[in-house]
Amino acid sequence: MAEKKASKRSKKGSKASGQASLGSTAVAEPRTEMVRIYIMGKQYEVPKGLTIQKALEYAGMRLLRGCGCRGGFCGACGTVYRTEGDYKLKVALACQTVVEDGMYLTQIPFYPANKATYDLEKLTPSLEAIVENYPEVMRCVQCNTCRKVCPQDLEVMQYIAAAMRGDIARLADLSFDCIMCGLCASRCPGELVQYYIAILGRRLYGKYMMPKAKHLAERLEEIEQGKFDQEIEELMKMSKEDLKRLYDSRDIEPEEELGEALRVGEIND
Amino acid sequence: MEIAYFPGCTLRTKAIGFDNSVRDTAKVFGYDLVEVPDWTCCGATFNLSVDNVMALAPPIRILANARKLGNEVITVCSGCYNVLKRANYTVRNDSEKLAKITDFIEMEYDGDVEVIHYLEFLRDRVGYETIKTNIKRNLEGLKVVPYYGCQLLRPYDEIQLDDPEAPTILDEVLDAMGCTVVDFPHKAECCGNFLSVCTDLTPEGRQAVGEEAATAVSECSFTILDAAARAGADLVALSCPLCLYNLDVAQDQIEKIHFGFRKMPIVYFSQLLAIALGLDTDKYALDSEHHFVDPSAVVRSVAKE
Ligand code: SF4
Ligand code: SF4
Ligand code: SF4
Ligand code: SF4
Ligand code: FES
Repeated sequence: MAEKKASKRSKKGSKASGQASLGSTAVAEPRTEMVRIYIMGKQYEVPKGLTIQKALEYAGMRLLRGCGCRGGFCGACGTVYRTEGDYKLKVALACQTVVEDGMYLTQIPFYPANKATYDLEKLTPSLEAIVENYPEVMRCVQCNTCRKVCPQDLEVMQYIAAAMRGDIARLADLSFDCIMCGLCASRCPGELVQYYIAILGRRLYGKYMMPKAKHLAERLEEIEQGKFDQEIEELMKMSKEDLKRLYDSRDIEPEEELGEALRVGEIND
Repeated sequence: MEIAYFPGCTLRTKAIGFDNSVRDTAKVFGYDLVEVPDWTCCGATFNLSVDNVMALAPPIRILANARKLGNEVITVCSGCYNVLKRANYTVRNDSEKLAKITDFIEMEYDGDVEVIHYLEFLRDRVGYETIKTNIKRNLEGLKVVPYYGCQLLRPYDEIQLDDPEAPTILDEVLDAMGCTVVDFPHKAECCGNFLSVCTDLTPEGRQAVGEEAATAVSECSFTILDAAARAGADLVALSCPLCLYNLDVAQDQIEKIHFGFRKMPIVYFSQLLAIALGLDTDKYALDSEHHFVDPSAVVRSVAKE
């Protein structure tokens, strides 16, 4: 887990530097080292160190689909590639992965998926709920292809195996970091849409199995009793400047995680 | 002592009493069954087409994962046992397939894990004498027929657990735990479960497939249950969730067709073992929620203390 978090952080790092290197540089500086990449079979030379996403833009593409957050969270920029001389099929998030020499790229901005409509109130956290909505889950042949293509390095086959035996808690846990990029579904010989099965699992887990947060119930109670009404009213009357000052001088939780999240927020502003 | 264990999907869902009773009874004998890491469904049926190498991927991956814990793995569902054992047999005798499948699953495996059925484990490792000395409840009053079905025994060349026509291992285990074992001629006969799981046996379903076809399904079960009843049995003990479902679900229908038919509970042998060893009978799903024919009255009759 610690490792995963670390990698997320470094992703953010590469994002920031990627942005810096693009800016107005539609033309690379003379001494920039270039690499060859192939976009849908056509060769382009792009500066070394760009992310695949930046490289596509450098090559003149305008990304209308297949690009969202640029930060590794939205799952819009799924990419499939091979490198010269290697049979291995590789995948990446275009916004998170730096180009390599000899990359043959294709973007998978969208992949058709079967999505069930259900009323969560009427389901139970069980195998039945999964099979009723996604009977194709039982077509999984445990080939592990989904695991091999997940850019989040999730144990996709394992979460499907959990779904197949009604282990909703494990399904929810193993799929927690899924960003719904769709790459697993694009490669599944059983034609499953793993991420929709997973989100059903997380919904069931959240609604029926996760321990209820006591402090949340208490706070809701307090709100209902009007404990914060006066405070809100005062805030509503405040001027924009006073609000800003109040915001800047607020108590910030000491945790490193939160601090970093806020700093990233500031950069984006 | 720790030993690798593959429960299989059914044991984690419908047959939870089977799973719990296997783990707990093993513990009584000093064995900790440790789940194979990252296990998946084994595929449930062994694929008979020789070129379908894909079907070998799940069982061989399971065995490669079991290898991380040692060179043997215990399993207890007859279906899982059949699949794992035959997949193992296949790769042990076909190095090309082994190479292909290990290359595909990207794991190392050379066929050196032994797949052991829990019955086999009780016979060879625990031993009947040890079972007898640990008995806490007297099950003499239970007249039980051992039912083996097909997957536990066949094909003999690949499985080699017991004589496929006249098996005795389940008889012996039931005898060691103190049941009154009733012999009957249909113990190694197919129960027809692959018909019943793919036939909708609800009233509407029966109409769709036709009454004749639907009855053919329950007749397979009737032959077995009727013979068991005539032999004087109170219940059937077995080791396969599919057999249990099939013999269990058919009884309502059989009762309608065959006048005088006496319903009979179907249980897993390890559930009886748990009772015999004095474990808490409430823990093993011996109830109407997990069985069409409620076994709780029979259980209560022997588990008073
Ligand atoms: S599980 Fe599937 S949809 Fe989710 S991140 Fe992995 S590949 Fe993408
Ligand atoms: S790719 Fe599909 S069939 Fe293969 S393991 Fe994943 S979910 Fe199962
Ligand atoms: S039925 Fe096995 S997958 Fe399942 S528990 Fe037994 S054959 Fe496996
Ligand atoms: S492995 Fe590839 S070539 Fe072989 S059957 Fe499957 S899809 Fe076809
Ligand atoms: S653009 Fe959102 S994950 Fe890449």
